[in-house]
Amino acid sequence: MTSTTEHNSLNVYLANYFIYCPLLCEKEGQEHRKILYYYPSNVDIDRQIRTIGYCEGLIQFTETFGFDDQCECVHLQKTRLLFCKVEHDICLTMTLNVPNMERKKNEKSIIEYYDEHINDRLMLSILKMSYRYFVLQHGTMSSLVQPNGIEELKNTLKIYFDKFIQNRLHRMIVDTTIDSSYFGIQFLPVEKINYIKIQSILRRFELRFTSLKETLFLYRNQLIWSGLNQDDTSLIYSYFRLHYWPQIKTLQNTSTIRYLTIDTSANPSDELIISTDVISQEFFLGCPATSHRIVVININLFTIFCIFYNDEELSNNETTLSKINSYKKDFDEILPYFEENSRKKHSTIDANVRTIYFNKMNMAHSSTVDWNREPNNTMIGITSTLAEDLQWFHPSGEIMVKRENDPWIIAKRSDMRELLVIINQKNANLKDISDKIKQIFSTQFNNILLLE
Amino acid sequence: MTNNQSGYFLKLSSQPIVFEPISNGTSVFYDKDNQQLFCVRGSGAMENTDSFRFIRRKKQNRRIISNSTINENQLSFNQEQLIKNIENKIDIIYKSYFWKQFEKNFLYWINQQITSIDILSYGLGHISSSICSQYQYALLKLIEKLFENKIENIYLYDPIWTKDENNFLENHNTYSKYIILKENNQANQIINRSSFIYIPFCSKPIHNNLLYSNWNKKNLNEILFFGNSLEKFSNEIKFDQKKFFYIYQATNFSIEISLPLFEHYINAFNEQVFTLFNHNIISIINENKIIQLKNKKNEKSIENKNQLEKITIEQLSEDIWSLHIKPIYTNEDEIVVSSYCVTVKGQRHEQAYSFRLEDKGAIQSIKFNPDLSVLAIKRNSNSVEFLNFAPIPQITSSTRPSISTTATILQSDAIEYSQLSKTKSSKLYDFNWLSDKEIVFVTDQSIEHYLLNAEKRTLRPLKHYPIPNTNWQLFSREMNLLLISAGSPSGNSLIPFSFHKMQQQQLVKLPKFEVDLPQAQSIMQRSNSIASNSSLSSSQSTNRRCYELTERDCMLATIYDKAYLLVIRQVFRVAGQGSVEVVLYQIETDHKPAQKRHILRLNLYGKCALNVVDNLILIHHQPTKTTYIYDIEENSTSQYDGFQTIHEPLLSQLSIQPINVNWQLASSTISTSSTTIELYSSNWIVFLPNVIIDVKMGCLWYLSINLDYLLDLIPDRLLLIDILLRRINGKSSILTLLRTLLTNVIAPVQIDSNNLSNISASNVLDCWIEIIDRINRVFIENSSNRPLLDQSDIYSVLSLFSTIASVSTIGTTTTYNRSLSITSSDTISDDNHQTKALKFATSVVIEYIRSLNGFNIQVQYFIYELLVNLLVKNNQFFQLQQLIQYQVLTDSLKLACLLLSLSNKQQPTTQIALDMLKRLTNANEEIVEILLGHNFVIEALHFCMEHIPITRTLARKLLEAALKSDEILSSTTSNQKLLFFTVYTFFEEYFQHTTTISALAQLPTTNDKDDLEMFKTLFNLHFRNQDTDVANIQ
Repeated sequence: MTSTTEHNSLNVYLANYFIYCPLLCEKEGQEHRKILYYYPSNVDIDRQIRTIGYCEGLIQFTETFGFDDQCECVHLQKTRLLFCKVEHDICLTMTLNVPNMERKKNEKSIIEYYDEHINDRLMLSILKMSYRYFVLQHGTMSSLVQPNGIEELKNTLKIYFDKFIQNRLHRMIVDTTIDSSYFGIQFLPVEKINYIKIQSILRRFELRFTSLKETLFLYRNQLIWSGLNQDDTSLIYSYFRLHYWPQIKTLQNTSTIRYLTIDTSANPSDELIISTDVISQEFFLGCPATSHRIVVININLFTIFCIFYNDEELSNNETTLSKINSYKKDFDEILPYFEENSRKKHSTIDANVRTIYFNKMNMAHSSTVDWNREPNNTMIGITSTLAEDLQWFHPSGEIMVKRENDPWIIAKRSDMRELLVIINQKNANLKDISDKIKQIFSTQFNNILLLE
Repeated sequence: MTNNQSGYFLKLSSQPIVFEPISNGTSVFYDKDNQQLFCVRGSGAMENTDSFRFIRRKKQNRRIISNSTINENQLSFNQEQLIKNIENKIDIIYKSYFWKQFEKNFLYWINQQITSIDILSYGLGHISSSICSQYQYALLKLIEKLFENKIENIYLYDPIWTKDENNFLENHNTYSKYIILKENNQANQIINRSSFIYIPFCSKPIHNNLLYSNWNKKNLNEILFFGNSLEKFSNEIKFDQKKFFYIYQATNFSIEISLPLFEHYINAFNEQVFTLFNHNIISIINENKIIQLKNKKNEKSIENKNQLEKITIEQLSEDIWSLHIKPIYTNEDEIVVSSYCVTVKGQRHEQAYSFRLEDKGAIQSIKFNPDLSVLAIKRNSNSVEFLNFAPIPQITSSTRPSISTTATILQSDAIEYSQLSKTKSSKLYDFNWLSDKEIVFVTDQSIEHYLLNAEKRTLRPLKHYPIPNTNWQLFSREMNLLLISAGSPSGNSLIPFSFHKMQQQQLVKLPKFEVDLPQAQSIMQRSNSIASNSSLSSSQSTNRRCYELTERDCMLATIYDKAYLLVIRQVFRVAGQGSVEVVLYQIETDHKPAQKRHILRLNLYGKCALNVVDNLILIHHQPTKTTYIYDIEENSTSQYDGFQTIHEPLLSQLSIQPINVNWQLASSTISTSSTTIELYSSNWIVFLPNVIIDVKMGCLWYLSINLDYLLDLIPDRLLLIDILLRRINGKSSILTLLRTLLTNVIAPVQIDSNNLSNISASNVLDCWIEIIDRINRVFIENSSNRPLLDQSDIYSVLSLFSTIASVSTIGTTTTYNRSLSITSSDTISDDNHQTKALKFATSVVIEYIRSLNGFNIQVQYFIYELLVNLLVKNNQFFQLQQLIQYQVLTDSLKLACLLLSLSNKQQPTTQIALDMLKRLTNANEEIVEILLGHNFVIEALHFCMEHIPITRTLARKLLEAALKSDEILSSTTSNQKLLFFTVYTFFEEYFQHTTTISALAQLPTTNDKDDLEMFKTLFNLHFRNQDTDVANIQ
């Protein structure tokens, strides 16, 4: 709420966010037609047209240089433009104001712009994610146009994005870290025997419903199983982290089965709807995104996403309830193991070492960095920059960085994996750190092959 | 589902062991421990089936009665006593219904005869000792008495008669009509006048010869036979039409009149008939029985070739009479007086054996030792004779495929040696071979344990256990158990002895125990006669059996690896309503008395027999011709009352599969007919574990169970799997069960919708979980009598999942396709079905892996391979990654290779494979290869430095890869052999450093040097041509 009205110029903030489709403008004078959504909405229509035209021009201009990929971001002194093309010819654009600071120099006040404080990679992933969240709840824009026409789409976009930008996007932009930018999946480590037990329960459960497609199984905020493909899994998982988890963790922990849905039109604090009756929600999943019914079951700290093809079976509340209830015992049975497991954690972690691990292949992500407690703001920037630089290495590479009074930061890439290690050993030299890294790899990451 | 194969649960072996039926001078012994059937021909070996014997024509074998070796003393008898005995018997016969019928028929015949008659009697047997013979003689006497005035002469002949018997007969010749023939004329006796030929239980040759001698219309019309049925002869399994031509022809026109049972002593006249040939004489005969068959006897295509046209003697064509061939019998068929021809058949040795024995009296018991080197024979009640045999000639089965047809002739040692029972006065019941060299005699006073020395032909007594008042014994070599019934007159006090098969000379007496009998009002006297037939007045016999325990009702069997005594008893709970119970006493070896453990209840009453097949107890109920099956480990059919477990039948009212015996297969003779066997015949004798012998047919079968039958019979899959898992041969049925179970889901055949709910995927999976856990539990317990299904067995079932087509790749079906046409929605639903099927299959495989893990069984690669393939088919790469990540699929080199091979599809599995190889720690070479394969040369080099000893061959490999990689890169960028330079300089430096230390030790061959030489020149060519530059670079 606060960030929309008054913003600290030292922070990045969203200047505008718009969606347009160039194809909708067939001839001159109809430029306003191509605008599907524009934020802020109070901007004069001519200004909207001009801004969009300006972006179009930029994209077209860069295309003449013949790069394979379309231009994704443009660095300006005061602003940053980010583009994202979806569904062939719809373009999402986001303008960010570059953090600045007024300084007195030679009696003159100069505004210094900190261009490096905005990381393209991080912001682009937020932009893409904003679109994917929309698709998850409403389907693709082209599929929305087909039955209802452009106006209906515009309407839907406006309702959705006004709320989304107000409630989520501002915070996402300000709070973004390297961890949040991955939109990866945190897997809960589970012993083989118990894992197979869960598999067994879930698979039996799935077969009870003929229209049940797949399930996702989470304990607390960590994923244990997903039957969906990787993209859908990471999307639902991110959605869960964004909408469900902040609410679930405040809930009373009970062993009764609860059914959860999200009302995105409500305020973030009370968007979670809890019921003891089976309630479902529509999600658009797959490629192309098609409508599915989702039932979210919560029991103790387990959350189970059940993805149904349709709601035929769900219409009979009684039988569904009894079917689901018959598995309650199974879930109760495995619970002690997880409680035990979560208590055992956090034992042998070197207090001076923080690691961030991301594997693009399976979206697995884990991090021991607590960004709220990390005092040094600049470190966020450095890690993000290093992570961005890693993209240039193929298949492997390693960078070690240290600034005065800062901890050592080691960024490593191995094929599809990214690994960032922060070692708080300020007096260590390169050799010491190199040895330390070797030791960390051979202890914490001994089960994977890290290329050098 | 039902087919012919699975129509019956119980089956008899398709090829029975065929032997000569018991009636015609053959006696049969079955040795349970060796599983051998002794078929003794040529003697009235069994006490009550005396029969005639021939003397062979060959001179060297001719035996005259006076030369008989039979101990005269032994057979001496009290003549007066005998006369009394016979008079007594005459009286009995006279009062019987049998005689009434006999007399009626005989009178009718005799009245038709113009002249007075002769009586010819052959082969009455030892009148002095055999009860049968006495009855037969008594009947003759009775005829003689009543028809005295009609009888001219009575010719008597039996070569086995002793002097005393001859004398007795002559003295007893009240009516002076006896002419006792001294010369053996082979029954080639031509009649002088109308004759009654009295030949009870005589063999085929005698009948045949008598017919041959009188082969003309006149004579035959005047003859009345009383003896074995010619029809029966001709219907015998191995009836030879040529050899017994006259019997064969005579059945054409013969008329047989059967007589009622002689109830007082059945064996005396059982199945003996009147045979005559003159149709005019018999008016009683039912005309309907004479079936006029149109078929000629030489038409081969007639179904029943043995059955000749039924015609009267007058209708018979004349040329038959002109045939006058003297019957010739070969050695094989000839029944020899001096020696028994013994054929031994059995499962254990596959081969049939035959040998000859001296005739030294009726054989009471005959048994080989386990290795068939020594034969023990018991002929009288206090000694056992032994005979050594040469080792059995080994016949490879390839040279003689048809085992059953020919018998190997065994050569016996010439000298018999014998062992008398130690206690002189005692009566020897039986003997048992404990091992090849040990034998135990059981007498009414003691058990005697001997050690045999076959070379020296001696026996050394080892131990003597006096046990007074022994009633009977049971023995099982397999169970190492000898059970003696002793002490109590009702026979229910039992002493078990166990012996050690390996350790010699040990016979351990176990605590004795008592079998409880139903309360008896009065103690009945024990009767020695155990002869009972189905038609014996049942109330009397069952009454007796209720109050005493006899050998016939007790059996020893091992069930589920425990030794049990099985006791059949008839129980009367409600007055007039009986039921059968089988009580199982467990005989423990740890010196505790045997405990009554199980009771099998059968709510039927009547004669029963037991078989134990595959730890199932089969109760055959003879009156209803059904079998009831019990499984003492099945909980659902049993209840524990605090002391014993009471069992109800697991399966009720089953019957044995009807079987035809094809005699051609079974014997060497020409006849080709196949006969349907009467099941549950009263002629059946049943032995544990699974032997059924039909003494009249001359067949021995092994009863087997057809577990596949249960698949249809028991709908409860879990009960079914439990039952099958207790069967040693349950494997294939279990596999069938699993296969049908899974096929129902992945390829449902919608026959009836009622069943559909039952076979929903979810139910089947629940069922599968239970089943697979039980299978694995049995597997891990690894007990010998259970079916062990290993992973390849289960895989053979699971491999049916490979029939599921793979799902079309994601994204090909777009939203537009949905609304387009019906066909496209069909493909979608098809896809949907396949996805479901694949998902189900995956679940099934994962459940199997879970179960294996639960039992700590290492999962074999092919199971993983199947799972991986299923996931890939369903495009579930992400799920595959998760499963590997959580170690559901255990790392292995093979699995890594499989993942590598999949990597070229849409999903990168190389990373998983490399991680797996790294975790394996012994696959570093492979990792290098893969890295080089991806042109990750520098990475490979780094990896080598840490994990692999650097050699020149490795250097060469890396240098080659670097060159190749450079070439690829040079096409896109301006690469100037950068990789080659890096790799080369590394190795150059490395080898310079290490030549002095380790490389020298490796002794690089000149060949290696040459290898690297090539790279050296290449390197020099590219980088060293300007010397100064190189220096700068370095």
